Amino acid sequence: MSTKFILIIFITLGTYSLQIEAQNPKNLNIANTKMVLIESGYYTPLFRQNGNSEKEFVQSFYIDIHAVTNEQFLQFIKANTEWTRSKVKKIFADDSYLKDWKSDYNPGENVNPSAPVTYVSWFAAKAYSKWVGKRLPTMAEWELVAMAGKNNRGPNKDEKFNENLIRWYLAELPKQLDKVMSDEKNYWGVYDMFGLIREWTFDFNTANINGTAICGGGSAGATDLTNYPAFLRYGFNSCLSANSDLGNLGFRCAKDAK
Amino acid sequence: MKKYLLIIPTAVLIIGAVYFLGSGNNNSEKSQLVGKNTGAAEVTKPDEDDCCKAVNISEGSYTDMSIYLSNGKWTDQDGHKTELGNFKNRNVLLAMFFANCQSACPVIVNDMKIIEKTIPENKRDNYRFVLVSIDPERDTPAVLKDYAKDYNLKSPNWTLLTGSKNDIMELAMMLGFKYSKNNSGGFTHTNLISFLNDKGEIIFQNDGLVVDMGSVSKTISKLNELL
Repeated sequence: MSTKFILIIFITLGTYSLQIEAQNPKNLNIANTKMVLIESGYYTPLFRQNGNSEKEFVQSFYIDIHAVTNEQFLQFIKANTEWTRSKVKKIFADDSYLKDWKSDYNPGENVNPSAPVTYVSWFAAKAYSKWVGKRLPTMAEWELVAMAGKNNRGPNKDEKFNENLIRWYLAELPKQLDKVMSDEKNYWGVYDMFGLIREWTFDFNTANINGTAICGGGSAGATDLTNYPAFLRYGFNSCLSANSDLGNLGFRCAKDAK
Repeated sequence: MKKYLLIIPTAVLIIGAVYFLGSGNNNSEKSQLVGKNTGAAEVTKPDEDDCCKAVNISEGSYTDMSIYLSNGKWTDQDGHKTELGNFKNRNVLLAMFFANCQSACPVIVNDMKIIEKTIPENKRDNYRFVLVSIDPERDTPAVLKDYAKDYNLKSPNWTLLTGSKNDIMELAMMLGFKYSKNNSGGFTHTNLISFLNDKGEIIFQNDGLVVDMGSVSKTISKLNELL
């Protein structure tokens, strides 16, 4: 009778610990970045699509205060093994996927666990966002956050800021990325919109459908010809495929404000 | 006496279990990367069901470059729920469109009908023609049904699909199709007809409103040989 009782406890405990592994509340906790509310506002797209007015209204939403880190992405992979480097399907991520990691479940000592994860595709970023109950920000949302200065909502017209930005966009990739939140936060309390990595957005390649080749550097149809950093951003985006994995490209998550 | 001997290990086990669970939570708090937050913060626990279903890919049944690996859930013009994988084992011509589109989409549909006619009649059942809407708010199954009627697109050869914005974007990304909503209620979009083989792999794409008939007939001959 008592032996049976102990056996039951053993089995219950065993089953319970297996359940923990499957549900991964710990993994999810680590993967879930703190968010801040971004109030609704207007953002001016660099390129006007047919029939679009100059300004675009963006509803309020929540955004992660920092980009998803290597450590966080590892939690996602542990819970969703089809996203390991060896198992990922080519249509979702090209050969460069997580190429700076040592192995499937080990980023290795060359990668800072607190630095943003890069070499991740749009599909991987989207799957991660869904797993933590969030989504990728739209490009309009991302740009709305990015145009804020340190003490204002922007648009940030500071020449020095733009100069630095251009320098950064054209700079080579550092050997190892810095950890997130090393720089100052902006007006919204959001870190690293610039200076660390570029980021995926949900509709990253929709900026310029009309056929103006900004992949090559054209400028017809642009609303603000002085906004060179935006050119660089749009140009970069329109050259990407959703399964691209690049060393300077990561992501952060967003969520509807209800 | 024998009973007491059993109670001790049981108690140890329970204490151990409690400690184990507790330490798990502590670790996660410790390693959580959060800054001092000034604005309105929200950390919502994700839905657990959602977590594990999210990337439930049917392992092994599709090749690495098959668009059928997508988890998208679709509804056809008859209101039936379906998945793109249901087109497996057939050749597929697929285009994204919206019913209110006055300019490019009717041209695309017409191009697909012209291509259909170039396929020998005894081979036509090996093909499916699929139109996926990018305008799920307006393109309900009933609207799609009317559209099919207006353009004389007969089932089962022709399927018109609608889905969630999320699934539509994912499919667009897989195909390399670009679209963006404009303020006049329509969409700006690229014009793309994708040819899929029986495994759901893209083997040719006609980009633009002019059909490259040379490449299309080569593609059709290749597809006819394979099936």
